[in-house]
Formats: sequence, C-alpha cells, structure tokens
Amino acid sequence: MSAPHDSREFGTRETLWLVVRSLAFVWPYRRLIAVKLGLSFVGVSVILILPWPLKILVDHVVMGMPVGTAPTPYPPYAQPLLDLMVGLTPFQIVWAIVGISLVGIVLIGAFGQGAASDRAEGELAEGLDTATKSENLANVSDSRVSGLLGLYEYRYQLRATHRINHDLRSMLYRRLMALPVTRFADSSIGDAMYRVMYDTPSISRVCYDILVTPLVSVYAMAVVIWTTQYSFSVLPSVIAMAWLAAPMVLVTTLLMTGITRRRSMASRQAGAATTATVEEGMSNIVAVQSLGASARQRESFEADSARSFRRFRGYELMNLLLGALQGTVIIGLTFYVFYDVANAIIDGRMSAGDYAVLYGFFLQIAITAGALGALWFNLQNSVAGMKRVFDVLDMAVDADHHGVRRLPEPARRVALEDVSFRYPDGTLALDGVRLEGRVGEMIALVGATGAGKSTLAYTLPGFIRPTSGRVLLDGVDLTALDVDCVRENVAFVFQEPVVFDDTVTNNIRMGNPGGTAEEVAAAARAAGALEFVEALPDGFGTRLGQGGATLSVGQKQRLAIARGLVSRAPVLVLDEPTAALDPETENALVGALQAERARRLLIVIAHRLSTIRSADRIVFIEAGRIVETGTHAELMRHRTGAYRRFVELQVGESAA
Amino acid sequence: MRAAVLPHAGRDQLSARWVAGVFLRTWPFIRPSGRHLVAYLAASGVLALVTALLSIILIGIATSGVLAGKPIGGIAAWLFSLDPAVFVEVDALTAEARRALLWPTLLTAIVLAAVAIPGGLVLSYYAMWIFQQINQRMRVQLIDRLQAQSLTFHARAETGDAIYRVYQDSAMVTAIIRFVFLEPLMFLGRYLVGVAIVAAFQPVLAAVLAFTVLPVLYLGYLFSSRLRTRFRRARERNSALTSWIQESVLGVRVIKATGTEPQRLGGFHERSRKALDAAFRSRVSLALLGILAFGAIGLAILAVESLAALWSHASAATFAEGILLGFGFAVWNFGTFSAVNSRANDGLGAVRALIALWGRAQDMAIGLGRVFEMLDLEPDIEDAADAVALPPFQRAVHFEGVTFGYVADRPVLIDVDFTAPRGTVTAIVGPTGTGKSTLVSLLLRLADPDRGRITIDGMDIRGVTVDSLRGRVAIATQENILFSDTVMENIRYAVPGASPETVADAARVACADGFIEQLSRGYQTPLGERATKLSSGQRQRIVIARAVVKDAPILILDEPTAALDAETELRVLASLKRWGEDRCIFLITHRLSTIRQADQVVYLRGGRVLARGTHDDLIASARVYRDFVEAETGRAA
Repeated sequence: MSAPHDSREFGTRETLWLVVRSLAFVWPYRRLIAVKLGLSFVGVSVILILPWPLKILVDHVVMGMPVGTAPTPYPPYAQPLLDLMVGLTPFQIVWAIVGISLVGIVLIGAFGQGAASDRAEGELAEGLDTATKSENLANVSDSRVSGLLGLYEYRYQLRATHRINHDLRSMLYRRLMALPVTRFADSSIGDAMYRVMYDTPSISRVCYDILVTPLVSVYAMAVVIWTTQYSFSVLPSVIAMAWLAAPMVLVTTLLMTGITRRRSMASRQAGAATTATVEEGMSNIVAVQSLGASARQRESFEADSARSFRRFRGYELMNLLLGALQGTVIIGLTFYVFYDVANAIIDGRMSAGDYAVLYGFFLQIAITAGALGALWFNLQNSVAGMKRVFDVLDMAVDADHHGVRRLPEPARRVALEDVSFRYPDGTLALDGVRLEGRVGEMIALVGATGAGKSTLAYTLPGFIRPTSGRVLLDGVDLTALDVDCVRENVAFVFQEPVVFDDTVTNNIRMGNPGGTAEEVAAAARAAGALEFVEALPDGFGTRLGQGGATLSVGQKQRLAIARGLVSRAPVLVLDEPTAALDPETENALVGALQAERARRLLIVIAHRLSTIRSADRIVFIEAGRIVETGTHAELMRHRTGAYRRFVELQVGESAA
Repeated sequence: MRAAVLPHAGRDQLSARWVAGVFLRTWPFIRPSGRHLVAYLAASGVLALVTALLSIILIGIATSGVLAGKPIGGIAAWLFSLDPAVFVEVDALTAEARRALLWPTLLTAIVLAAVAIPGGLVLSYYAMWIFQQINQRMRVQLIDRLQAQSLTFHARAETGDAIYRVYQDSAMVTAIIRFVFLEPLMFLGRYLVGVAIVAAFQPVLAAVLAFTVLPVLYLGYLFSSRLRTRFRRARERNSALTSWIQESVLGVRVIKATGTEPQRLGGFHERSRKALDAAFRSRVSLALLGILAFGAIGLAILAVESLAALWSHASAATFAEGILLGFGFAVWNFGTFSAVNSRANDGLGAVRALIALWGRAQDMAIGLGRVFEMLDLEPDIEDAADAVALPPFQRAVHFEGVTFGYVADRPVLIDVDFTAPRGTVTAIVGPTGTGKSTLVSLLLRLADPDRGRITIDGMDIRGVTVDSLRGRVAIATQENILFSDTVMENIRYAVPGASPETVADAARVACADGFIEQLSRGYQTPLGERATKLSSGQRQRIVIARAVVKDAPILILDEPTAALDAETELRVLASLKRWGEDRCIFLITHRLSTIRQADQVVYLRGGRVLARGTHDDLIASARVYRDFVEAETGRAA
C-alpha cells in the first residue's frame, strides 16, 4: 500500500500479464469452471434451435405454405422438427408447437427469441458508484436460459463464484495481516478495506470473461455462421455479414479501451478517498465534535463524494457511448441484411419465415459479439481491481525477511549488536546501539521524546529490521528465525492500546490463546484491570464493542498490559505502559512486574520515575545513541549526567 | 425531525402505505431535483411514444408490405407520397411495388435509430446525473447525522457499519426512488400502451395480457417476506465482515505482536463464509422468482402468438379495422402477426421487468429501513428552542451537582461541584477511569448531565447554542488524533481561515515549532491517516497547537503531556501558562510536576470530588490526596 493512489497507466502487455496471473489463481478451480462451461454450451445450443419453430409457424401457419415447400433447407439439427410437421394441418401445427413450447418453458424457460425467452440471474440494484457494483460482482452468476436448467446453472455458478471470491479475499486478508507493521504507517485504512471488499470480486469477472464467455461466444457464432452457410447459401451477402458482424463490433470496442481504463481507475480511487474521509471522521468523532469541526468534515466528505460521483459519471458516459456505438453498428448491419433478404423473399428464393430465423440469428450475433466486445472492456475494469489486489500480494511480508529456524527452547538472552536504523527519508533513528539483556532482568529505556526508544523496542520482535547490525535471540540472528518463533519469544505492549470487539477474556487471551481462566484473571489483577472488569455487566464475558469504545484509555491500557502479562514469552517489551495510568495503578503494576522478573526479561520504556527506579538497569538514550547505562543510584551519582538532569526535571526543581 | 410513519428494521413491510411513507420521507432529498425528474419523465414519454409510432409504421411497411406482399396503410403511403392505387387499394402488392417500398423502409428505420439511440444515451446520462444529485444530498445528510450524535451513541455504533450504511444504503435509497417510483411508472405506461394497442387488434388477446398480471402479482406477494428476510441477513453478515476487516487493520500491530493471525484469519473465514452463504440464499430466491414469473408470462406470450398465427392463417378481420386500416392492419396477416407480437412482448416484458424490480425492491427496503433508522436519530444534543449565543466569557465556569452516566444506573460522575474562575489553571486529578475525561466532555456538551448543571458566567450551557459553546472551548485530547492532511491544516483544523502566522504562533506556544521546521517540508509536511511518522510527543504538541490556534477563552488539556518527557513538558506548560493568563484552563494530568503548576486541584475518585484546593493546601490537609501524591513520586513531596 505504498502507493494507494497509484494512477499509473498500464499497457496491453501488463493487462495480459495480470490476466495470466489471475488465471493462475483460478487454475485450481478448473473443474468447477469446466462444469459451468458445459452447462453454458447446453444452454446456448438450445437457444440456437429456438428460431426454427417460429419459422414453421410463420411459413406454414401465418403464410399458409404447405410443409416441405420452403425454398431454403433446414439445418440437420432442426430438420427433425420439420419432419414432425409433415402432413399436419395449420391448426395441428400450432398445437404441436404449443406442446413443444410448454416443455421448453419448464425445462429452459424459453420457446423463442426476445421476450419469449428468459435468463436466470439475481443481480441486485446498484447504486451509482463502484461499491455497490462490486457487490454484484462478488455474486456473478447467470445463465442464458431459465427454467430448471437455468436455475441449476445459476446455483452452480454462484457457488463457484463464492468459493473463488472467498479464497482470494482470505488470501488478501492473510497477506494484509502479514505485512510489516511499518507498511501501515502511511496508508489509509479505508483503502485496505476497499481492496478486500471491493477489489477482490474482480477475480470472478476475469475468470468467466476469459474462460467461459469467449468459448461460448465463439461456439454460438460458429453455429450461426455454419447454419447461415448451410441454409442461406442463396444469399452470399448474409453469409458475409455473419462473418463480419463480430469483428466489426469488436473493433469499435477496442477503440475506446484506453479511455475507459483510465476512468475506471480514477473512479475507484475517488471511491476509496470518500471511504477514507468517512472513516477518519467517524473514528475521530470526539476530536471532530470537540473542535467544532463537524461542518468542515462534512464539507470535505461532500467534496470527496462529489468527486467520486463525477468520476463515476465520466466512466459511465464512456460505457454509454460504447453501447450506442455498438448499437449503431448492429443496426446498420441489420438494415443491410434486410435489404438483401427482402429482395430474395420477393424473388421467392427465401420465405418470410427465413426472415424470422435470420432476425433471430442476427440478434444472437449481436448479443454474442456484444458480450465479446464488452469482454475486453470488462477486463480492463476487472484488471484494474486485480492490479490493486496483486500490489498487496506482491509486497514483502514479515516472513520474507525471516528464516525458518526455531529456537529449541524459550530464549534466555537478547542482544543488539551495533544496531542502526535509518528511515527511508534518511533520518537516522538508531545509531550503533549495543545492548544485552537476560531473563531475570528489568531494563528501563529512558530518554526524551523522539530519542529513538520506541524504534529500538520495535527491532526486538522484528517489527522493523535494522538497516545495519544484528538483533540476536540466544545468539541467533532474528532474520534466521521463523517469524512466529520470534513473536512467541517476544511479547509487546504498545503505547496506544488496541482493544478488539470481543469479550474481555478473549482480548486478554490473545497474548496466550491456551491461557486458562485463572491465568487470564491473574494477568488482569496484575495489570490492575480486575476491579473494573468485574464491574462490567458480564465481567470477563463482556463484549467490548468496536475499538473498546466503552472503556477509558487507561482501562484499555490495562487490558493491553494484561494481554502482555498473560503471554508466556520470555521477553516482554512494554512501550510506555503507564502513560495513561494513575500512580496507584502504576505502582501496583510495577509491583506485578517485579514478580514477573524472575521468569522474564522485561524491557520497559518509561517516563515515570517510579517505574524507572525499579529497573535493574537504566539505559538512557539520546538521539538514537545509548549515552548512559547503569542503576538509578549509579546514574544519579554523575552530577552532570544526562539522566540526573532528566530526573531533576521530572520531580520539579525543589527535589533537586 | 418530521413525525413520519416510518420504516424501521423489522417494520419494513412493502405496502402501499409504506411506499407512500418512503416517498414522503425521501421527498426533501428529491424535491431539489423535482424539475429535472419531471423533465426526464416527459422526455422519456415523448421518446417512447415517438419510437412506438415509428415502429408500428415500420412494421406496416416492412413486414406487411415488403416481406408478405400485403397492401400498406394509407398513412404510410401519404408519408412517402406513394400512389394509393398501387400500394393501398389492392389485394396484393406487385414485386416492383414491394421493391419500391425498400427505401421508405430503410428511411423510417434510420429515422427511428437516429431518434432512439442518441435520445436513449442522453436520457440515461441525465437520469444518472439526477440520481447522483439525490444520492449526494442523502449521503451528506447521513454523515451530518452521524457526526451530530453524542458520545453515548458513538460508544455503541460500529464504524464499519456506519460506512457500509452510507455507501450501500444511501445508494439503495436512490435506487428505490428510481425503481419504486420512476421506472414502474414507465413500465406501467409501456404495459398499458401494449394492452391498448393489442385490444384494437383483438380484445381476447388483450384480456390474456391483462389476466397474466394476476399470477405474477401473486408470486411477488408470495416471495416478498422471504426475500426481505434473506436480504436483511445478507446485509448484516456483510456488514459484520466489513467491521471485522477494519478492526483487523486497525489492530494489526497487536495481532502480529501476539501472533494471533491464525485466530483472526479463522474469524475472517467464518464471517466471509457466512456472508457468502447469506448472499447465496438471497440471490437464488431472487433468481427463482424471476424464473417462476417467466413461467406465467411465457404462457401468455405463447397463447398470444399461437392465436395470432391461427387468425393470420384464416386472414380474419381485426377488431378495430377502421382505425388500423391507416396502418395497413385491417386484416390478420404476417404484418399484423408481427405488430401484435411485438406489442404483446413489449407489454409483458414490462411486467417481467416490474416483477424483477419488485424482487430487488425487497432488498432496497432493507437498505431504506437502515437509512431511515439513521436519519431518524435525534441528535441527542440539540440547541434548545430558545437557545442564545454564549456571551463573551467574563468570570467563571461552575459545575453544580453534576451527575452523569453513559448507561442508566451506572453513574460515572456523582454530584460534582466546583468553580473554575477566569485566569486560573484547574488540575483535575485522580485514578484512571474515574471520570476525568467525561467531566470535561460535559463542558463541551458532547453529552448532557443526568442531574445538576454546568454554567458559564451563571448561564446554563444547555441554554446556549452548541456552536457558540464549542467556539469558546478549545480542547487538546488524550488520544492524539491527527487527520490525513498537512501539519498546517492539522493545526488550523478548527479554524480553517487561520493565517500561517497564527499557526506558527500556536505551534510556538505548544513548543512544536522546533521540530515542525525540521520536517522535510515544514508546515506543509503531509501526515498519514494514523500519522505514525511522528513520535507521540510530537503528535501531542501538534494537538495542543490545534487547541491554541482556536484562541478560545476556555482551554481543556486532557492528559496533554502524558507522552512528553519531563523537560519538554515543563517548557510546554510554562508557555501555555503565559499564553493563558486571562483564560480558564482545565488540566487533566497525573504528573506531579504538572499538578504543581495549577492554581486549584480537584481530586476525583470513584466519580466524586474527594478534595479541592491548591496543591500545597491539599498536601497539608487532605490525607487521600497525600497518599495519591506519595504514590506518584515514591516519597513525600
């Protein structure tokens, strides 16, 4: 998500490459897709027979020609139908066709062209922007026929679509969770959600547009062309038209793809920006309200939303123009054919029923070629979504920077060897840090704001990797270890507490999924959370709501600390755990930490003297370097020491 | 809010009353576009009539004349100045006559295409524009409503859900306006025109068309409640999934640190599967409704087609031959057959489209229920009817017996009483969760006290306008929220018009000017959504600057300095004290060095004020307070 608003254009080659990647993804589902393809072939075949009963009705009932006197031959697949009618009176022919049609209605929901045929589909109404469109995309399924066959095909394809979508969005979600923590620094959360929810459904389009639509379309066109050549050899222009129609529709479509691709990108991005505005406003509602900025936030949303709509209009206008262009081409062709066919009918080389058949066939060609033309168009659209999905899938995740080794037993020792860290913008945050700690120790990292304490702490669980130097767990370089192994050994409590919409127990147990109720309660007690948790309506079973909205910051922080305490990790890092705690709670916590010390290495970032003083070793950091190390008493002996000055300021001048 | 009879989740029955209610409720959003809608409807009607007329003329010439060799109607002959003796008053057309009709046919067809294609394009675009305008109004109003809700509401609502609503559901409202009011009107028009034309040919066929509506309507009735239940479940499940993803992304650091990715993924799988299963059930039901409806409609079309074929075979006279003569349809023949078929298909096609809309409307009904639920929310903090603007701050802020709880019977604050005079710093101290932040949020009217009152210069703040109140109070919050914008915009967030100099001054007061100037682009440096690029101390100072720039007489600093080291904190506080000489400052803090700066200390515990006075007085006289301070420094102060 380094570039959430990447609007770089990509060419045909990249489009094809994205298509290939998408296909590689759907390859495991080839059997599902093959069945869907088979069902589609059956459906289309049935549809191609439908014009012939109408021809019989027109020629032999409406026009009253005796059966067998039509000037053009029936194709072999329709001949049996005609054979049934031999010797029947017009009245009987009507009854025969009604009978056949009734069966058709039940089985395939069709007995003719146009309004006399139905297709199974379950599209829902779409709003006028991309979010609701992708909701339909996630449920892509349809059948060219209806009735029992259509229902079966619809259900089958919908299941297939859902399986593919579920798997892809799971993959993307897993990947998002595995991205390095620093990846989330500048990206917007709305954008990440947009990808999981709205971009992944593009896969279904790519899948069917590439694997099903072309084959079915080519098959339908082949049948139409072959039939035209077989039955209407008297009229070369009709045959020529049958050959030309599809390419002409395709060419008109391809002319416009460049524009639509850009517009689609822009439309999606504007949608993501609007989501981000809403998200920001809602999650920061306290700030928005208390600053009296509701109006401002609203204006910002209004502008984003208007831009999103405008972009979408631009995109839809392209769609409309494309549709109109295709319509014009198709109508032009129909006129041309009509002219020739009419002459042939007047000359008696064809019958009026042939016109009905040809009309049906050209409708078929128009639908099929339209589908093929829209295919490239849709593909541009879907590929834009897939590109954004692949962008995330391609990002290096934590595991890529780690090996597969596991420590045979819980770590006892942590060492930083000349660790330096430089941010991408060039700022040096850590400069040659050397530090060692063993289980049984409590180390306090102390220093001014921005000195690099948190950055140092982040290197321990591998949230960030040193740009030079090494971090060792029991003498093994972190990068050689399996990432899960690292996190099992190093627990981390963040400065800004995060609480999930789950029960209190489950929130705490995240630190140790196997933890018993007693362990959870003990951790809560040690973190000073027991009292308020027990006051909640359902105690430990209380659901906390999203973001733990019902809790104060201090309460959330105590839960976060309990989460760290309940874990069995031998190394526990606490990043300013007590910033939002009152002194009494803090003192209780420091007491609890003393008890933990026996079985852990505690690394605590702290500003408060009461916490700092209880540490075995104080590491004072300034501008990314360790400037002093020692116990509180040792460091206080330096009259001009940096730490001493820090302490004097902390308790006020009078304490100096 | 209007007192409307309206749909809530669970009461979203699609009845005539309901539809009327929806119309009334959405009217304020539609009204500004009313003229456009009327224009759109009129234009669509004209276009539909013109194309229907042209099609009938076209079928008369092309099918009857050219293809079947039957005489054409007088109207067409007159239009193209054809000799009636050759084209109209004959039994059958000669081959030359038929060929001569080819050009009129093509001409009519070209005119038809030239009207229908661009007309359709322009109307589609027009409709899209109109409905986007309506949607925009609705979205903005929804956002407004959400933002106007008190903290009590936001403590319950899920953000993911809110976003989902604004997007999916406001789009649904737009769609429902279109699909429940506009399109049925047009479909109904098409259906009635179809029935009327067919009746002219043969009333029996018109009766068939008319009766087909009954079974289709019955199907619609039968499916309604099932579809609604399923659609509702599908939406709820989808919403739950969205919230899950959002929460995962927000809490990704903790998930990684605790190695609980597999559990989160498991939760995701479960929600995704449930969402898809619900979608499957709802969509298959919708598809089934369409398939069954076609059963009835297909039978009707089949009946019309067969009967028309038989009558054409017998060359029977049409019902209103006098009227139809002009178009060439006095007798049943190929042309008549085609004309009747095309009208019947068009009319029944409209019925089929209507039932499909009906099915989809069930889904939209759910969306509407949810949107109205939100639009119906009374902002729980609203200006009193006789609210006045807060006069300039003169003397003091009083808390008088204030009691408050987010949930009934669980008060967070009990009988809080104290006065904060102008020109003083009041420190509010006490254990975590004791209601310190709640206390100051009441001053901003983010919620109202259950009992007691808060006055400014003796005026109850419930009697003044919220805008004027919040305009007088600036706050720097505990959670350092930055918006994804530049440093400059973040600081002047509450005062968009503030000059760069004012912003720089505020930054100086907050001791933030130093590090800001060292950022790569100074005040123009963009900050990310979570703004993690800055250290918490730096973010905190930007938040303080944001409060300062507002230049309000009352300033609240909610743990303003928790993330600052002692040295920086002293500098910031000293600077703030200078700046705040004639203001009233509230300070929530834990730190002794900060507390010492205050003129008055209010010690809260368990929601009650246990001690009040200067730090030194309290140390001397209040045992509870002394214990508290000793815990802070590890020794007696």
